[in-house]
Amino acid sequence: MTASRVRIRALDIVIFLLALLLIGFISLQTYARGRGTPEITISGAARGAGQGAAQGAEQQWIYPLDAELTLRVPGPLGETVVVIEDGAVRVISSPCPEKICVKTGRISKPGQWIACLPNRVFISIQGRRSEQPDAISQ
Amino acid sequence: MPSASKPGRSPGGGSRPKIQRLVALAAAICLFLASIEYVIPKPLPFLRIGLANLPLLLAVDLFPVSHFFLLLGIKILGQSLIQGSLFSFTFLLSLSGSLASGLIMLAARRLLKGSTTLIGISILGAMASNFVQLTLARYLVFGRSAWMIAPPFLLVGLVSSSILGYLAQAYKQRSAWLPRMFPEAYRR
Repeated sequence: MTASRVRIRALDIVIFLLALLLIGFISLQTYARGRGTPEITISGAARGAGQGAAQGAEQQWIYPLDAELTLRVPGPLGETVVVIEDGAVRVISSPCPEKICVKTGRISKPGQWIACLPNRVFISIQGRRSEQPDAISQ
Repeated sequence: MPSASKPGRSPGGGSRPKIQRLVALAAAICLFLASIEYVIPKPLPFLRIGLANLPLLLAVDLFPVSHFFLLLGIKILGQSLIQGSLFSFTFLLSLSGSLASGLIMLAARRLLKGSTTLIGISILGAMASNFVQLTLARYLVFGRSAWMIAPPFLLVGLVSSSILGYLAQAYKQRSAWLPRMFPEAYRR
């Protein structure tokens, strides 16, 4: 039986539409994340967690870089105060001995980070240009 | 095939020398189409039509599995020779993409039987190949930004694979030569 005209089956169309849907989904994922404001990820250990408390007690917060707020992030030593303003993040006070996190100053670009090891607070900016060098030595 | 004394005129149509000649012919067409594709200017290196996959699409239905993979292997090697990418990472991408699409197309044909035309098979193959290549590119070469090129890459793949699938299906239905070469496949 040689039909000379190509009869497209329903399943062909289903496959086509599924592929289109998948591409649409990927486009949204890729471009929505890429174009938007970079986001700040802050992680800290829950208050009261002792030295031995492992990552299980860890908490994470995500804020957009264009937010204007002051956060008190709990850690084993106390509260690390983080300020987000004018498209940058900085730590203004910390209970840790060396205050390296405070000295790091303002960060504003994706890939930059502030870490306070004693108080287990880690702040990083992620976003469109996250492929730039991610290790900035202090 | 030194011992091919009897001419391949067996009624079953599946004598070994004959299928070997058909693989050689299909491979030659693959490489011819690969050369054509190579001289078509591309705005971006990843935007490809995949012309050389036409014989492979037909082979999904017509060749035994072993000969399908033989054809696939010749196509991968030959195409990268033509493009001059045999010893670069592009070859790795092409190799894994082609293998993925070959496997998916065969599996889809087995599972879905006759409920799709070659258009559906072609789209599935293209998507498999593109996803594998994007994933490899992400981990081997470009990092996370590889996905930035994903949407246009996948979209071009979808459109071109649909058209190629249509062409393959139309040829399969209208050819007077294919039913003579593969009587078993057409009797089904």
